[in-house]
Amino acid sequence: MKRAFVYFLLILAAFFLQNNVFAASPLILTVPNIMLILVFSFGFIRGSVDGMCIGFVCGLLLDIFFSETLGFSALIYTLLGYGIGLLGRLYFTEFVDMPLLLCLISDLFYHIGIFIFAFALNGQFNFGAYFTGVIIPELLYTALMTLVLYPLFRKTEKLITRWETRRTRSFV
Amino acid sequence: MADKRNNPSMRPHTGLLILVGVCLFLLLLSSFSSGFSNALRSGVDAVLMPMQKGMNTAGRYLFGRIEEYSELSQVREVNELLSNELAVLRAENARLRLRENELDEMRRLLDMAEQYPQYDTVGAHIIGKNSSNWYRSFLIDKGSRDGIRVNMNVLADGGLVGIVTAVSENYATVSTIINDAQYVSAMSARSESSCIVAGNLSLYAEGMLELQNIGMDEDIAVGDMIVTSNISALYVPGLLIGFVDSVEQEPNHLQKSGRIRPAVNFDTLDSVLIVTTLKISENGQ
Repeated sequence: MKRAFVYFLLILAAFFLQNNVFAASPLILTVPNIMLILVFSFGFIRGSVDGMCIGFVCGLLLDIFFSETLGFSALIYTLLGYGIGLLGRLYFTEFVDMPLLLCLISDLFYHIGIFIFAFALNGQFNFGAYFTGVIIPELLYTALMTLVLYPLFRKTEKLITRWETRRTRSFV
Repeated sequence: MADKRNNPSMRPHTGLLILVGVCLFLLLLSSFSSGFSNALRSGVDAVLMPMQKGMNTAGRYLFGRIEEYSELSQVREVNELLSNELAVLRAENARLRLRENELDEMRRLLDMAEQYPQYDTVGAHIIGKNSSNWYRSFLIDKGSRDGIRVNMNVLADGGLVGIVTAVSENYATVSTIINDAQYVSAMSARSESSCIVAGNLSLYAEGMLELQNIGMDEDIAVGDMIVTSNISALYVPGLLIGFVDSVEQEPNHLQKSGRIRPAVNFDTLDSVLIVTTLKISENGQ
């Protein structure tokens, strides 16, 4: 319950930061995808269940505020959280840490998903232009933010775990 | 694995199936009826909107400070330019006002209704932008409570910005005309030849929009002012979109296409005007 609450706060913070705070600046045209970092970080560290739950809420929030049909971003983020969780199970997250690789995989998955379902199906096949114009810039900014945020999320996760175990111990 | 990665109460793939099912259900539901998504929107809206406003104000303050320092040097130069321009425009305005009087007089004589009426507008601040770099849409701080409805046209800097696509009690979502698959029925203000202005994000990276479906006989030339047309289903007529930058023949020799430079700078928007006159309801009556 406590964990869900902390997750929810993190999701809200990420949403506000990328959609409201960065939106106030006319200088920042490409916004790093902070919600994506949140999803793949916790998906990788905590596993599929946490990943897809965070992903679902993040996507749904974006859908509610910015899209006419609900559920599309939610679907992409849910699948992403689940997939990264499976990846995390293959490696011991304590020993292998690869935030930049995760960022690359997640961002590409996210963008290719959008391209196929929202653009190619609408008859826009110019992948090259979108790749250089949309995907590459966002990938770079998101990778930069990953370097800052991933260690932060890892620490947060340790704090929550410590908090939880202490609680249960004192309870028993 | 020491950490409890597998929560015993919920097996991951069952959960995944449930969530994916919910997503697909929402997709279907919201594409067929807007009632449910509107209910969900207004529920979330009541809680999150004040917070979004606050965060946006904080961001504005922060970035405003940074910009203030970097821009101070340019301001003097721009100021001089602008005051020169103001003088020119004042003179032109006086001349145009005279001509408008004349026009009114003529119209009265001809008993003709005004073709481009002054539309009523409501101002609004942009408080959030879609961070997905694939779409340019944004949130404004006015909603159904302030009389905003879906399909109202949105202006800024005197030009067309986009159209309201979703409305909740306290906010509305605006989709811009530079988005892919956004088409605006338009015409040249000089010759009234019709064309289609199509959004295209990769072209907008060069500051342009696409101009399509110009018939071979239509008279559209470089420099023409392009406005929304009378026959558009969603846009009220006479709103400025931009100026023609180039026109060329399509390879099939049946149509012409080109590029248009929009009047609005979509990167630096921070407040907009919403035209409260609806085109659709007029036609529906």
